[in-house]
Amino acid sequence: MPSRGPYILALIIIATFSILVVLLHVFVIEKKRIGKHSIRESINHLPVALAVFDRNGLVKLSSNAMNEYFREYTKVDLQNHEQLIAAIETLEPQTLKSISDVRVYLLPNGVYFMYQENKITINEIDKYTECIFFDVTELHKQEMELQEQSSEIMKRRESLQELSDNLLELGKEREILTAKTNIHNQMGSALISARQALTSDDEKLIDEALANLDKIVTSLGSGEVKPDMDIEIDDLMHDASSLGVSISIDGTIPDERDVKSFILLAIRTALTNAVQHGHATSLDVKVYSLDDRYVINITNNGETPTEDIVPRGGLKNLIRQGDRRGYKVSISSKPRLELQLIIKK
Amino acid sequence: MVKTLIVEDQRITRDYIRGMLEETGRYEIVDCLSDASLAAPKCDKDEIDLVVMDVYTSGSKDGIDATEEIKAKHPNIKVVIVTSMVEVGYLDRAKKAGANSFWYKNISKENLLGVIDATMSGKSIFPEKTPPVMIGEASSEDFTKTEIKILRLIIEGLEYDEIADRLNCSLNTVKTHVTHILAKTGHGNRTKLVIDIMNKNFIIAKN
Repeated sequence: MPSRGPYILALIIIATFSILVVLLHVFVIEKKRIGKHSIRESINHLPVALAVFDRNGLVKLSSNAMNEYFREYTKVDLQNHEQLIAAIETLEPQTLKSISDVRVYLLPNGVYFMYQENKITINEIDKYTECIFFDVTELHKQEMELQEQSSEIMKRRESLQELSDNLLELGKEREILTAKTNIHNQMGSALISARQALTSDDEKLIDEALANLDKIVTSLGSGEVKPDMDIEIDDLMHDASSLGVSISIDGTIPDERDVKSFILLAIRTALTNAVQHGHATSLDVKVYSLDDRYVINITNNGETPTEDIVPRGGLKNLIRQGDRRGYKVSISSKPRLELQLIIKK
Repeated sequence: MVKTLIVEDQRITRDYIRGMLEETGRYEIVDCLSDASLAAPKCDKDEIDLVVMDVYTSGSKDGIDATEEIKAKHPNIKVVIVTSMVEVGYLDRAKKAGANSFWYKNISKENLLGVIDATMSGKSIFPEKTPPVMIGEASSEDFTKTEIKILRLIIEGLEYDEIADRLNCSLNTVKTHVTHILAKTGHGNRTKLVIDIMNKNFIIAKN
């Protein structure tokens, strides 16, 4: 009779192999099923700190990142929603311009995070609260760098504008110097001619020389410049009067060059607008010198605007120049049109 | 008599122009203003035939913008623009604004009275080109139109990427142009270049 041993051995091997295959299959299937462990593993891989609380506010699920942040800040473990909110409320809210409509906070360890809370309902029965913290530290850093760069750019632009204004003034001074030099030279020539003519006894020559001198003197203008006259204010008053507007100044316009030129610019701007839009016939300027600042109010007797004033042209330029110097310019249209300057001393 | 308005903020120049015109007996000086912003309202108010207009005056509006304003409502008023600033864009701007004539103080070969008389007789007197100035080692005439555009934007404070956006070209193109300009002028850097240009009033940043 042949031995049954090899057959039994073969059967055992086949059975063992089959069991192993089945076990392996079951293992793979089990692995594919989503269990608590797999969910936890997944949320720990998310680039956010996450916690989910049940309807009673108790923690249902919490990522490692959330646990670490919470423990580091409060020194205790996260148990419930109320704890989390209480901890957040001790933090100073921050502002990020690029995400201005969400809450951003700064942790003591230097991490900036954006906080979001969502209510979740499953099967219309189970209610949860999902709390997510997005790390926006890098975004904050970039925003700060951008702000710094923007600030530098603005400073450079202001410096350029200031340089441009100063150089224009310089250009004007050069122009005056050239004009004075020309007149001086003409005067010199005319005087020499007159002297020569007078020594010659030639009446025709003398008449010509005197006429020449007279012409030059006439070209210098009426000469009505009094020693205490402020030419800039005088010109301003004349310009206003040319347009049928009288300007009254109550108080003293300061002598400091920058302050004075700005105030005069403001009065001119107000005058132009009063004439063009308000058909005014008088402009009132009140200058108050307080301890730490000058306050200048400019009003007129023209028509009150029916709509809010939107600064354009001269007004826009005035505000820009004020900003550059650190002066405050405000315009109100009710109950009447008023331009106000506040200039720190 | 030609009813004349003089717009000039410097008394000495204003009085000189006034005296020169009155002496002819042909011009009646209606008024003098030191602020170009008020020129158009003045022309609305009074009968004016001629405006002798400085470009840079007190107030925020320049004489060329004021000219455009006057011409829009009073096309028959003659406007003669006078300036000592050799800003490269003034001639074109003045023509576009409708100015009848343009005269450079201390530079133009013609005398101002001759230019004004010619203007009143219907002629239009404009210099052929902006007087050249030296920017470093280069003449201002050596700059191309694009280079001038870029220089103007630099003086207005724009960064290279903003200039590239404005001119619809690449950042590298802008940088290349600036490199060429620096090479032409011999200036070591952008700051020195900008200061030189602004000092010569070749380009003036508009408010």
